[in-house]
Amino acid sequence: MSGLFGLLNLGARSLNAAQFAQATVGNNAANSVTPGFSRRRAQIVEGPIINAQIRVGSGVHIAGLQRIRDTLLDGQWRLDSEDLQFAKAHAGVLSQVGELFTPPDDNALISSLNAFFAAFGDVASRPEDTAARRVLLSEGQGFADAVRQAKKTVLGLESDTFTTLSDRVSEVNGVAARLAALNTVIRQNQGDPSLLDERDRLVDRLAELIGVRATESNDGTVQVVVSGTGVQLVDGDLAGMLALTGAPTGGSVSVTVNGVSLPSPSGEIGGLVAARSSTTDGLPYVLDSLDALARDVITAVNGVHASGSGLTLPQSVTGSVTVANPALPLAGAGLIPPPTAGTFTLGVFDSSGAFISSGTVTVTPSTMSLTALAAALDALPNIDASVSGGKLVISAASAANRLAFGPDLSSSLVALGINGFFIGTDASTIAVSPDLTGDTNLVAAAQADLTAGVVSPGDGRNARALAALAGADLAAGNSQTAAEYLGTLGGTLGAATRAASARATTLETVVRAADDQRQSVAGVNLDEELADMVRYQHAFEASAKFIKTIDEMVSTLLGLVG
Amino acid sequence: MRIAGTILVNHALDAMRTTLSNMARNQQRVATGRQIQSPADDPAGQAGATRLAARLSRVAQWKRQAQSAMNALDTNDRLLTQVGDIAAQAEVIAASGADGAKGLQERQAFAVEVDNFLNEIVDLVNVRDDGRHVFSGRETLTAPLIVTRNAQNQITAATWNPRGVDGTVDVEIGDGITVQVNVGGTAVLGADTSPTFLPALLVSLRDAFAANDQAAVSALLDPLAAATKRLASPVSETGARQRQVQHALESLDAEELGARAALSSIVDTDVARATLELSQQEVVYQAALQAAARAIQPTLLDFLR
Repeated sequence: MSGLFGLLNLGARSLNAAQFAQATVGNNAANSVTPGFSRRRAQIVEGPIINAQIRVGSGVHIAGLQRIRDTLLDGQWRLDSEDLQFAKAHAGVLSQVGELFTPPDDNALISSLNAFFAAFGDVASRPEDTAARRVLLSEGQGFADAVRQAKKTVLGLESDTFTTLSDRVSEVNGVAARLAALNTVIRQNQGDPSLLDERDRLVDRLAELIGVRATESNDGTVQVVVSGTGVQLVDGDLAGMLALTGAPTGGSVSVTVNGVSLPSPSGEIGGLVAARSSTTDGLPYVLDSLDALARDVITAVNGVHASGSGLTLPQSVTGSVTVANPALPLAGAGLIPPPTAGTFTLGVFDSSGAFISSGTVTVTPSTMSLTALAAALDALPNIDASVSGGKLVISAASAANRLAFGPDLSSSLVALGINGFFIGTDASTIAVSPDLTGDTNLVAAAQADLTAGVVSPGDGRNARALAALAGADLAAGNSQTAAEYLGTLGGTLGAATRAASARATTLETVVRAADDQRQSVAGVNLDEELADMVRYQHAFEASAKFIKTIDEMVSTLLGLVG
Repeated sequence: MRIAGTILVNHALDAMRTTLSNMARNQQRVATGRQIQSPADDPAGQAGATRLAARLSRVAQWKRQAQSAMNALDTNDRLLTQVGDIAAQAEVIAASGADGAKGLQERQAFAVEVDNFLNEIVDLVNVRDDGRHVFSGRETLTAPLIVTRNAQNQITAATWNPRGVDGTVDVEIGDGITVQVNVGGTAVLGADTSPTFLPALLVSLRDAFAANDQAAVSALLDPLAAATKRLASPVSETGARQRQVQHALESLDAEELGARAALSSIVDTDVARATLELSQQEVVYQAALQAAARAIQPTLLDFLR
C-alpha cells in the first residue's frame, strides 16, 4: 500500500492523463479540416501494479500518441490518383485543340474551305468578271489564313503544354528534395506524427504528378520509386533529378530520372507527355494532319490551276519552289508531288491574243534534271527557259509575246510551283500566290486550246474543274475529300477527348471512394471528439474530486495528531 | 463505415459540382442553340456535321449556278424567239415580193424593211447580257458578228468572229452534271460560208428588192425557209435545257432541305428537351443543397447543454 501521499500521486497522474487526452482531442478538432491530417488518439493505459498482494492498480499511465492511418488505403488512393491525373491532363489538352473544330458546321477552317471551293464555282459562272476573281482570291486567303492560324494555335498549345510540363517537372524535383530532407528529420525525430503526415502529403503529391510507389521503413522514412519502373526518385536523404527532354514545339518530349528515361510516365506529367507526343491522337497528330491537309489542297488546286490560263497571259513565269541541286534528276529532288513521266505543252500568243506557236516537252524525272528540263523548254520555238537560283524561269522569247499553259501530264509544273494558285508546302507556309493577288486576271479559269490556238475570256472550264475539287478525294492518300478529312480529324480528336474525359469521370469516382476509405480511418469526426472531450472532462473532474477527498483524509489524520 | 466530417462535406460538394456542371452544359446548349459544344460531345456527329456542311455548301453553290443557268437560258430563249420572228417576217415579205404583181415602189419599200430586219438581227445576235455577248461561244467579250458597211451605212456583208463562236459554256448544276447554257452563233444563223447564212440572205434579199429583181427574190425563198427552219432546233434545245435546269433546281431544293434537316438534327439543340433537363437539374441541385445543409450543420454540440 503506497499510503495517502501515493494516492495523491495517483490523482495527479490521472489529472495529467486527462489533460494529455484533452490536448489530443483539441488538436484533432483544430485540424479537422487540415488536408492530409491524420487523427491521433492518446494511448492511456493502466499504471503498473506496485504491490502484488493487494491488487489495486497504480492509476493511469500515458503510453504515447497513436497516429491513426492505413498505409494500404494510401497506396490504393495513390494508384487511382495517378491514373486520374493522367486522364484529366490528357483530356484538358485535347479539349483545347478540339475548339479549333467547333461548331462543326461553321468554324473558321471548315467554312473557309467550303467558301473557297464555292468561289471557284462563281468564277466558273462568270470568268470575265474581275469581282468574282477578287472574291475567290480573298476566300483563298481566308482558307490559307484559317489553316495557318489553326497551326499557330496548335503550336501555341504545344509550347503551353511544354511550359506546364517543365513547371510540373520542377515541382516534382522540389517535392522530392523536400521529401529527402524530411526523411533525415524523421529519422532524428522518430514517431512525430506531424512529420509523418507531411511525408504522406508529399508522397501523395508525387503520385498525382508522376505516379509513385512508396515503401516505408521501420524508422518512418520512405523510399519512392516511379510507378511501373524500378527507378528511384527518393532514397533516404537522396532525391533523384527529373528532367524534361525535347523542344517546346515540334517532335515529341520525354522525361528522365537521373538520365534514365521513363518510357510511359503516369500522373499529370504522363498525361501531358502523351498529349504533347502522341502521333495518333495528340498534338503532333493534329499538326501532321493540318500539314497534310494544306499540302494536299495546295497540290490538288495547283495541279489543276497549272494547266489553265487567265484573262491575261504572262510574259514570263518563275517557279515558287527552289530546287537545291538543279543538276540532280527531278525524281530525287524531293519535290511535292514527285513529277511523273509525261508531257506538258506550252503555247505562245502575241499580246493581242493571236496564236504564234506551241511546243511539247517530254519529262522523264528519273533521268532529267531541272537544268535539262530548262534546256528542253528553251529549245521550243519562241520560248526561253533557264534556272535561276534553283527556280525554273520560263518566258516568251519576245518581250511582246505571252505564254499559255496546256495540259501538264507530268505534274512537273505544280511540283516546281509554276502557274500555281497557292504557294507554300504545309500549314504554316500556305498562302495565295502573290502573282495572282497582284493581277487577278492571272487566275486560270480558262483552258487554253493549243491545237486551235485560242484562249477565250468566257471560258470557265478550268475554274469548273477547280470547283469540282470540293468533291474530289484529294486528301488522306486520295481517299477523302478535304472536308471529310477535316471531319475525320475533328471526330478522331473528339473521340480521344471523350475517352479521356470519360476515364477521368470514372476515376474521379474511384479516387473519391478511395479517399472516403482513407478519411474514414484517418479523418476527424467532430462528434466523436466532442464525446471524448466530455469523457475526459468527467475523468478530470473525478480525479480532482479524488485529490480533494485524499486531501480531506490527510487533514483528518493531521487533526487527530493535533 | 466510420464517417469523418470531411467525407460529408466532400460528398455534398461533389454532388453540387456534378449537378452544376450538368446545368452549365445544358444552359450553354440552350443559350447557343448548339448541341455540340466541343467535338468530344459527339465525335461521330462532329465528323458527320463537317461532311454535311461541305455538302450543303456545294448544293447551295449548285443552286446559285442553276439559277444563273436558268437566267442565261431564259435570255437565250427570248432572243431566239425574237430572231425567229424577224426571220419569219422576212420570209413573208420575200414571198410577197416574189409576186410578179408587185411594182418597183413596193419592192423598194420592202428593201427598206428588209434592211431594218438585217440591222435588228445583227443587233440581236450581237446583244450583250450583263456585259457578255450571248451568241459568242466562249469569246464572250467580242461581238460574234463582224459586219461590213458601205458608204450609206448599209450592211453589205457579215462574218463570224474568226476565233470561233461555237465554244460551249457549261455550268455545273449537280455532282458532275453540267448543262450547256449558251447557243453557238452558227447554230442560230448558220456558218458564214453556208448558202443559208441568214445575214447574207437578208443582204441579198434587200439588194434584190432594191434592184427590183423579181427572179433573184424568188431564188432566195427556199434558202430563207431553210434558215428559218434552222432556228427551230436551238429553240427546242433551249427549252429542253430549261426543263433540265428546272428539275435540277427542284431536286437541289429537296436535297438542301434534307441535308439541312440532317445537319440540324446533329448540331442543333433540342431546346424542349434541354430546357426540361435544365429544370430537372435545378430541382436536383436544390435537393443537393438542402441535403448538404442538413447533413453538415448539426453537431453533438447542439445537444450538449
